[in-house]
Amino acid sequence: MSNVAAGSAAVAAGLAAALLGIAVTALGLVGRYPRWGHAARLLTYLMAAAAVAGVAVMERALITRDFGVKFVADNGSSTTPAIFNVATLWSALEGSILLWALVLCGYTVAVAVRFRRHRNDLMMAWALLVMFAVSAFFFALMVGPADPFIGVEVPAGYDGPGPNPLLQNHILMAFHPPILYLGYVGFTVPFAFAVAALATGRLGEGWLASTRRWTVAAWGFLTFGIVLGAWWSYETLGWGGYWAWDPVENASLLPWLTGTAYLHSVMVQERRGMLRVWNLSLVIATFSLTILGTFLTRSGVLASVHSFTESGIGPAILGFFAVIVAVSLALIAWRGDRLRTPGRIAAPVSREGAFLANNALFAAFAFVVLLGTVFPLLVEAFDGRTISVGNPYFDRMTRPIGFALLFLMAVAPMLPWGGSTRRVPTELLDRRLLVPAWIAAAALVLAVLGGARGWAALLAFGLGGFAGGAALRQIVLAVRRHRWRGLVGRTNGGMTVHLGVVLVAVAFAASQSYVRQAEFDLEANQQASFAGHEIVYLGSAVVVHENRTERVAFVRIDDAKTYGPAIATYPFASQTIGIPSVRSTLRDDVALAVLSFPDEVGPDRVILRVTVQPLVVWLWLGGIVMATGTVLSLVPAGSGRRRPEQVEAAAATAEPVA
Amino acid sequence: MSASDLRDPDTAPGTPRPSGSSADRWRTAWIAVPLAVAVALLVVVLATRDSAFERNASSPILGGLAPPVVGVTIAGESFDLDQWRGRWVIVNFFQSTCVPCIVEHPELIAFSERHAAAGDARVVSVTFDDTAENVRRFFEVNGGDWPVLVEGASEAAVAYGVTGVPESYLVAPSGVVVWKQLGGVTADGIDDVISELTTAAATP
Amino acid sequence: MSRRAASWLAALVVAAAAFLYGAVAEGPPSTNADRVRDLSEDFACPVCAGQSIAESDVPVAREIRRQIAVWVDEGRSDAYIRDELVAAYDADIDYNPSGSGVTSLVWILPLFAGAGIATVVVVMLRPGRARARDSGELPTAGRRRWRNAAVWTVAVVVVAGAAGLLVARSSGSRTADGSITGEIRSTAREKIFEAQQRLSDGDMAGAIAAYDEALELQPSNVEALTYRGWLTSRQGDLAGAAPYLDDAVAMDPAYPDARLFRAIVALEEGDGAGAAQDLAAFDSLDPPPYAEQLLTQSRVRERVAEARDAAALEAVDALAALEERPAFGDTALSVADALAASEALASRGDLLEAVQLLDWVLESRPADPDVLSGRGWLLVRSGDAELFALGVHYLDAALGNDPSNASGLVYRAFARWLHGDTPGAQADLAAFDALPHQPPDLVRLIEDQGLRTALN
Repeated sequence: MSNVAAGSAAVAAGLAAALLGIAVTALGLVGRYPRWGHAARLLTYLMAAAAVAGVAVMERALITRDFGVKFVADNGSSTTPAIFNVATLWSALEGSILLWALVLCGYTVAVAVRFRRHRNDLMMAWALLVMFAVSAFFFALMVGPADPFIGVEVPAGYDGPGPNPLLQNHILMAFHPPILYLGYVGFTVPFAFAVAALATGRLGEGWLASTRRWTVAAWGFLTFGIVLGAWWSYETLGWGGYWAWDPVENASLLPWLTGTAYLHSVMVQERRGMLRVWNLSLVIATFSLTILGTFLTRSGVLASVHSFTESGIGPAILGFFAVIVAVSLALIAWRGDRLRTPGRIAAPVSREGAFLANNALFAAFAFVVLLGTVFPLLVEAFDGRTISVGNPYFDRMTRPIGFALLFLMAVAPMLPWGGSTRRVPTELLDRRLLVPAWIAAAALVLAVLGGARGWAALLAFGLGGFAGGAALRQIVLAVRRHRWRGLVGRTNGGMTVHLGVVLVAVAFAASQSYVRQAEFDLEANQQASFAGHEIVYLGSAVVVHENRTERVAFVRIDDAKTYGPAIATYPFASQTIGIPSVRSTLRDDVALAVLSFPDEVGPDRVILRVTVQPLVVWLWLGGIVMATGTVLSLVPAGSGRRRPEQVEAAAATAEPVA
Repeated sequence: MSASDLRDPDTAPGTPRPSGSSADRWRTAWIAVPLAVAVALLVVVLATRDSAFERNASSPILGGLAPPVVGVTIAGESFDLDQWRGRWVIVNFFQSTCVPCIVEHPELIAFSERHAAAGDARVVSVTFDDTAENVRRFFEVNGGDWPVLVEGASEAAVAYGVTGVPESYLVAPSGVVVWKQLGGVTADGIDDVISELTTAAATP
Repeated sequence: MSRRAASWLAALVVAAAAFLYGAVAEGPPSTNADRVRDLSEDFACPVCAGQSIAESDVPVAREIRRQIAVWVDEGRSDAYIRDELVAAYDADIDYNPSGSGVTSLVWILPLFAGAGIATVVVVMLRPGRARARDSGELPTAGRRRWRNAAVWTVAVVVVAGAAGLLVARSSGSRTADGSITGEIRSTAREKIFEAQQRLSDGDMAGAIAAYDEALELQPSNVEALTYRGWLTSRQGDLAGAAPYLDDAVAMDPAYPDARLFRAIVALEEGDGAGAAQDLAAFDSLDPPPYAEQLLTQSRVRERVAEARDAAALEAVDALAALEERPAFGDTALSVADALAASEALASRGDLLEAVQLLDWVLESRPADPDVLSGRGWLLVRSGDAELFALGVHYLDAALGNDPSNASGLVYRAFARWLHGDTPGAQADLAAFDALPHQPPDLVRLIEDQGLRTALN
């Protein structure tokens, strides 16, 4: 059986399973099919098997270089190294949809298995129905406009172009997209339960409890995926930048912002039963924004380096987005009466008050990013002019929000829940914030002694010290009290995440504020010194790889190791790309990029761009700390606590079906 | 503070309050409806956008006074576009390594020769992201005897808003940029434009 | 003061001191390269999807970076650089949306959103709300409540709007004001352009004013000087025009337009010699087509020739009027004058006088090839077979003295052609073509008589 036939069959089977799943759960919901739970679970297995088969077939086609598959003929190449050959799957549109479907099926199976005991709960039926529907949409995309298994006749001896050179020169490319997808797609689960809650009218905290870990996990993947993406662009683009407010980067940031807001505000609802509409809206917004991001990335409406080339799936995804938003809004409006908040926030200076402020800031942040991203399209639609919105706008508008969030990160964990009292807990804050305040002062003094200047960066360092101090204090106290168990659980894991955020924020401020860059025209064995580093150009050599030819410049930094930034020429892309080389230390990074070798006549020369940026490594370390914190927060926080199953069971039986 | 974030056991999960249900429903609708309108608007805007890959970049310098082209040629002579006022001028941006530029070159030679006798149209080439050495070799190999700007080339390229090579601009005798070509030109193509513009000017 | 309060105070003082010192103290000087990088990040690469000029490595990004570096080295302001790039690449190269017009909304709307969110939060936290909830009744009567809400809404909207406008003003990119930072050269160019357009609209006074403005900005602008002088002369003020044209020629002797206009003005002033000089200079240049057209239209060449002939005749007549004619070598006449006069005499029918005039010249310059060939040419054209042969003899003599004598070659080519000796004529013409410099009047003679076509 050819790869085309097998792949198409797998996709068709997946679509069929998803549609059957919709039918089965729908029948279950109207009471026509009591055994729907069992059947639905089997169908999720079937659907997932189809997705796995589809991906396996595609990988087989890629690895065996079956150019009879159009996707392989367009994106594969006999000379692509093995690891990038596997990663070719997500280097182009159709394959990326296939990967998306696989991840989505994985989540669907996980939900079906995890909640199999509730197989007769109608809330589960609704949730599975939503997940089947979303899966059906993605399978339908692959049957229709984004078919990965189109057969094609190629002449004998044909070799494909391989993926875009930028996508096959760094190992991170193999991990960044799948992890990002695990994050994006993971938000389908809370969304499905939110819709289920709205549909069944069981709008209490049950669905929140059921999906809390799922949301945290998805958020962790998304966070790590974004950090990996920044890391990748830092390593491959070679200009010392890692975040450029590119539309596609913004598209990944938007669900992260609303998701982060949700992770905080959900605690208010769990604790005090408030903000129901708001939490539902955040979950729905997060999922909708992942779909909107998918549209922006794949429709070609917004130009971005990360976007896939133009395709016919734009309208389909946009339509799907519209349906999601319309259905969700209609459901919320319909359930308006039941969403009435039973509790209230009395104390402004309290934990819940801080969460409220946090959510206001994240909402404003998301609004700024969304507006900036789509504003050029709006202006073009209404005014006919083309404009751009980029770095200066986002920097200026998001910076104050960032400062405010750092401040909240310091204060909020110290605040007690307010309950019905309006008393400002001065005594408590006085006691708890003193150490963080000293850490902030120490951070400022250290920064100034280290040569840091400028109010914005210093404010970031000071607030970073404050917030980091607060998080550290919490962790230390918890560890003292519970030993290793003081590191796990939502609160303490969350503090570790906060530490990671502080690292990222400080590294961001430092690397943005104190970056130095210069271009040097060096002959062999010529030396240049820049920003406290000695750079010697030792000469160059041509290295021929199977899929590219590189001319490598050997550059020694600070009389130590030799680095090899290069210019690579890929025959198929008829394009040269720079391969930067970065020397990373905990203190600063020296990034080298070859701009050109202007020595067609005369001695060996190189035009070298040197970027010296402090603390860049801490961005990635911060990302790892955040990921670690996410994992820690997923570990149950010790004995004496209710198991999640018990919570779910309690929540599921708390209310009658509407 | 450790692990103190358990749900309040006293918070009855989601007990709907019967009071004020219609008012609450209205309040939700008050927010939902404008939101729906905003999202619908966004969807409409997104749906009606052309692909970014198809959006054509128009040049703001068309119809205006030609930006200066001043500098030194590969022959070492100084050059100023203004001294050619009164003639049609093709300002051609090129790079010695670009294949379409090599393809285009004979057309420029043909155009230049066609107008050499009458002296009513000329060509000036401006190098783009290239070295003088490469350019000199390019002209040795491919021919062409018009001025080729090397010094001042970046300034001219950025002033014309050149985005890639080859790219050509037609400057009218009045000194106005009247036409722009992304990619290679042909001698006949330029002449068509010139005669079109000339007849358009002659018949007001 | 408790110990804790003291500790708080100390922490705050230390933090504030460090912060203030760091915020106020001078950092290490940022280099031009740093500024280039900062600026590069604020502009979109025109061809690369979603990348800034700093990020991209395509040629256009490199060129723009290079140019930004030039501007930065020249000490240009950010606004200037922004204006230049927008003028060339359009507004969408600027990542900083403008703070005016529709685009200012991108700055203002977030403040409205922020104000809206903040209002919601404040309302949720309002003590009255909590109390009202507790007691289950509204704090005020319905009407007053509505009025309060309206007042608050208006206040929030006004404050947010004002703040938004402020942000847009301070953040959105603004253009550099006028010519203060603008490059003088381009401004003078623009004035000249404006003058040309006014001229084509028939507004001569306006055009003159625009040229004056251009000259104010750049007094040495040759184009403005030239056309300012030309327009003045068209208004009848020849004396006023001369200084402009003289300046223009002095500034750039190779500017054809100035030469042509000055020749025309000189002719109108009766200065044939001056006009002849400028015309010669004009011919040695590479004039654009419209200048040639103007030259033909205003019959400059003919009028210069007429003036020269008239002057030469006058001189010769004056000599003839003398009782004893001095030797040619003792007069102030040049060979060219004598030749012109002889041509003039011949063309008014006095062939004999013309020949005699040249004979007189030959007494002083017996071997001058130009005079010999001129005498030969007079005879060749006489129509008489005997004189024709004699004329050819003179031409041979001229070329015997100087084989590369241009007029001799051309005249003999004509003579041989008239005589039916086509190969001989072709040989002479080929020899003429091989000369390093072909006098334009001879070239025109060949063209006017159609010699070349006749020989082919």
